[in-house]
Amino acid sequence: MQHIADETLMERIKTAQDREAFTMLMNRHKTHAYRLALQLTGDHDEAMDCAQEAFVKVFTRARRYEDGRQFWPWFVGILRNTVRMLRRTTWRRRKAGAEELIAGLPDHCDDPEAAARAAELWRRLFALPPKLREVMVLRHQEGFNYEQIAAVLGVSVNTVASRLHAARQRLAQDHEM
Amino acid sequence: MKCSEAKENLSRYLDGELPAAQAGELERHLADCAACRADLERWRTWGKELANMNFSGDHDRKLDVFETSVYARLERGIAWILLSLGGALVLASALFYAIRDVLLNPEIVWPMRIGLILLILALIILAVGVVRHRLSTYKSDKYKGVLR
Repeated sequence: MQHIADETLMERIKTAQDREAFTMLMNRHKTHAYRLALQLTGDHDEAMDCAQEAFVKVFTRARRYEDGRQFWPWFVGILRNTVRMLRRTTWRRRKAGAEELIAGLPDHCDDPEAAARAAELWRRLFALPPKLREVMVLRHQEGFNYEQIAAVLGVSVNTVASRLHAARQRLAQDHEM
Repeated sequence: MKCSEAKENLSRYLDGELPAAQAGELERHLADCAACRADLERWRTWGKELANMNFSGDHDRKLDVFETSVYARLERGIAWILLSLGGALVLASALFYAIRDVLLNPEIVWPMRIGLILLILALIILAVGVVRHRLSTYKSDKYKGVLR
């Protein structure tokens, strides 16, 4: 089957509310979206909730999608804001917990030291304030550059730089303690 | 270059976001400074470890019904819009009948009529206040370009 670019599918959703294109787009990105939401929320149920809600917004607000814009960074912006809005509602606010997630890390049976190191790194990452954690996730998991992170978060490139610097310093401090 | 200065630039350098001139200066410092080199190496290792990790869990099974759940949410969204429209119409009708049957009825005692006028006025002022606040904050909202 011929591969259709995300951007083409988005144009079809935008112009014709094309559900087939929307389903195709969801199938392609749902796992990635869910895993990213998981790293931002630290909770499986919240992550699933946010990923689904973000796709609802893709469909209902497709008119705001600018032609030619890359789909994934645009979607990550929506997802991140959905996470922010969800966590803002006090009755759902919970401290992001690393333990449940760490239990789901792939086994390193061959290298227990690597497993312990990975678990410790995630524990420290989840101890960071959400603003610092999200820049680390966007930089390292998504591989976004500063400009892309700035666009997703709606902040300046300098703010991204200083948050990343602060996040790494905090991780290093915790490491030394 | 001092270590404190180098540490300020280390993060940007690691991400390839430091201008070439400053990067060259930092590299000269790194060649002589084992402590800064160790910091850079540690941050680089963390970055690789974070990039290579994937979580799994029982919730992954929910991904099988992901599309169905999203379409159900879309339908619920339409239901909420209809519910809001219906509610607004019922409220507007109630207001109309309240004005016609109570406010303009000479048989109703005047404290009741004054009370109703005050209630309607309060609702109008509240609505205007909310709209005005929305408009004034929109101008200075630095996140207005970001889709919520």
